[in-house]
Amino acid sequence: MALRNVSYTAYSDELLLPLIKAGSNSAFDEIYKRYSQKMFSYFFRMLWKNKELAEDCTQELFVKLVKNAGMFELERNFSTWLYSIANNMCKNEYRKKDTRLNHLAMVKNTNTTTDAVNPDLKRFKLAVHSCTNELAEEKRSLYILRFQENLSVPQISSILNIPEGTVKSRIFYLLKEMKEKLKEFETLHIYP
Amino acid sequence: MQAEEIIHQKEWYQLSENERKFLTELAANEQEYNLLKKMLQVSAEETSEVPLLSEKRKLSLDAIANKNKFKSNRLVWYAAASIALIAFSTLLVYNYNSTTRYPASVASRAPVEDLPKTENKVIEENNDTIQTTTGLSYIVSDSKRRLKSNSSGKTINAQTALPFSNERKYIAVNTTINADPRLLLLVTEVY
Repeated sequence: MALRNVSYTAYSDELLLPLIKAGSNSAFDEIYKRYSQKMFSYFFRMLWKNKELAEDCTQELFVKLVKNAGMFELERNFSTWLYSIANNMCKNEYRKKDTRLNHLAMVKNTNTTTDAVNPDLKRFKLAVHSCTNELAEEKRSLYILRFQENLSVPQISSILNIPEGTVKSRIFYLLKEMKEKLKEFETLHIYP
Repeated sequence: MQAEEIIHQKEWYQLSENERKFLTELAANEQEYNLLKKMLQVSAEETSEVPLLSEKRKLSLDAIANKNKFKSNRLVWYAAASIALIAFSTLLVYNYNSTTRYPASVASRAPVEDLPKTENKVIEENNDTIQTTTGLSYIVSDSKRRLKSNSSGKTINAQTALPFSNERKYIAVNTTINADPRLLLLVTEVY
């Protein structure tokens, strides 16, 4: 039987998975500690800032992790594997059309609070949030993974299962699109 | 380096000629460059707006994990119990069948006919027959004949002719019709 008091802090993610598969609660606790908030953050941003839904998805993700621990290929990076499962879960949520429409309406009606003193800066932040929410699923995923999760191009390529060249190209055109949508703010006093 | 990395790390005046050429399509002038830079900065700051994951979710996960462990152990117990039950049932059925196949081990309720002693001359003369109380006579089998030929001429009875009571191989023959009134009646009717 696994001992709860064993510390796996020094273990890599890939070494913890076989232990989780064997039923080690301590190994699972360590993985949970490392990735729970990160994955919750990803779900929160991907799923229209719905806290309950993001928490449900996070819980489901870790249940899937325990069930599928044996299917992980050791030569693969654990983090990207986890993100790819999370990304697929988000796709399933997006496919639920009614849910998506309700959430879009909810986000439009919600005033996102910002702590910006400058009103122009405040408006600019709201505009960025709005643009991000209106992005299509693939672009939104790319935006979050690159500009908010700060993942590298090779990692994103592995998660989304597309070539690195395609990732770079899509990021480039995404920036261009965002810039066009925020053009009105070019001349405003929003820069420090 | 990627376009967004350059924009994130450098100010407009810090860009080299090559980098400005590379970014022309994205940012043709300083205003556009600064707009993109601010957008990336705001995107990165959104991280702080994400709330903390609730502690109760971890407790729910622990409960689910323990439930799955119990479920798998229960299945093992059910499988073991099923195997034991099948083995026990097989043993019972086998035991019952073996008892039925060998009735010699069970007391038989079939009446054992006791062949009486006979002093009938016909019988005495004919060493091959033994008369019963019903008027029927039995022809003793060859093995018994041989036994009788070795005897000292005593009257044959079932006990002496039959050293083994379970080896009765006879053919019933009626030697005297008059001895059996039923047979006499039958013959009378027929003829």
